[in-house]
Amino acid sequence: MSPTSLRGALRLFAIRTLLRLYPRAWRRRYGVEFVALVTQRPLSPLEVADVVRGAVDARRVASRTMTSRRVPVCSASSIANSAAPTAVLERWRNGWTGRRRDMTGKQQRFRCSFCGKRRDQVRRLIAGPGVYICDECVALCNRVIADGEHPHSCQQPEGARPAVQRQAAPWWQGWQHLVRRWLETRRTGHLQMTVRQLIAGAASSST
Amino acid sequence: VDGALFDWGRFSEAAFLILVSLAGGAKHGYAMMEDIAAFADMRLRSGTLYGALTRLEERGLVEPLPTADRRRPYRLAAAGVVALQAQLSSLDVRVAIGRQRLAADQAS
Repeated sequence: MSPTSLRGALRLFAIRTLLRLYPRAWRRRYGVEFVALVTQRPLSPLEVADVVRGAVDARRVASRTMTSRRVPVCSASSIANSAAPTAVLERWRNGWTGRRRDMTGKQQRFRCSFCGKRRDQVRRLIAGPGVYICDECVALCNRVIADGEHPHSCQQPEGARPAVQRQAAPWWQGWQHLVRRWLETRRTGHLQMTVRQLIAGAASSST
Repeated sequence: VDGALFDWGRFSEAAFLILVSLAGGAKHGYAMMEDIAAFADMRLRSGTLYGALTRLEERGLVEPLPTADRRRPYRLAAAGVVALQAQLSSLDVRVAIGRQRLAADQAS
C-alpha cells in the first residue's frame, strides 16, 4: 500500500473522530458539510484545537437548549463497551454542564452496569462485586453466547494437523482472524470502515 | 442585536465577518474562509466558523441553501441585512469619533 493512501485514511479517521466530539443533533445537521470543510484545510494542531473548542461550545449550547435525554438502550454494543466507562460516556454524550436529572443519590448506584437502566425500569437487577446486571442483559448475553458457539478448530484431536503445515502459516494469521471477527461483531463504527479500507488497499496492492 | 456588535464572545467577530462575506453573495464554508482571508487578512478556523454560523442560522440572520457536492452554501437573510446595517452604522460612529479625537489631539 502506498503511504499516501494510508495517510489519507488516517486523516479521515482523525477528522471523523473529531466530529464525534460534537453532539448528535449537531452532527446530523452540520456533519457532512463540516467534514467537507475540514478535509479541505491542513489539519494543523491549532486547527484541531479550534475544532475541539467548537465541540465544547456546541455541547454547551445543546445542554442549554435541549430538554430531553436520550434513553440508554440495551444493546450488544453497549455490552461490548464494558461497564466502567458507560456512565462517563453517557454524561459526555448528553453534555457535561447539564444537571443529572434522573440520577440522584442511591438510585444511581442501582443501575444495570451494561445498559444503564435503573432498578425500577427492569424486572430483576442482579448484583455482583461492584457491578449490576439486569434480566434483559442476561438474556441478551445468553443469546450472544448461543450464537457464538461454533465448532472450533481447537476441538480437533491432537496431531490432526501436521506441525510442518502450522509453521508454514504466515505470522499474522491469528491477528487477521481476530480483526475479521471484530469487524463482524461491530460493523457500524468508522474505525471499522477505516480498517476495512486499509485491508482492501493492502489486498489490491498485493495482487 | 441592538446596533452593537454581537455579544457572542470569540464568535462575535467571526459572525460579523461572515455577514460581510455573505453580503457579496451566497457562499459555502470554505469559500467564506477564503473570502475573509482575502478582504480581512484573517484566517478563520473551522470550529470558530461553524460556531458563528450555527448562531447566525439559529437567529435567522443567514439561510442555508440546498447542498451541492456535500458542501452547503449560505446566503444573507432579510434579518441579516438589517443586523449588518446596524453593525456597520455603529462602527461608523466609533470610527468617526476616533478620527475626530485624533485630529483634535494633533491640532492642539
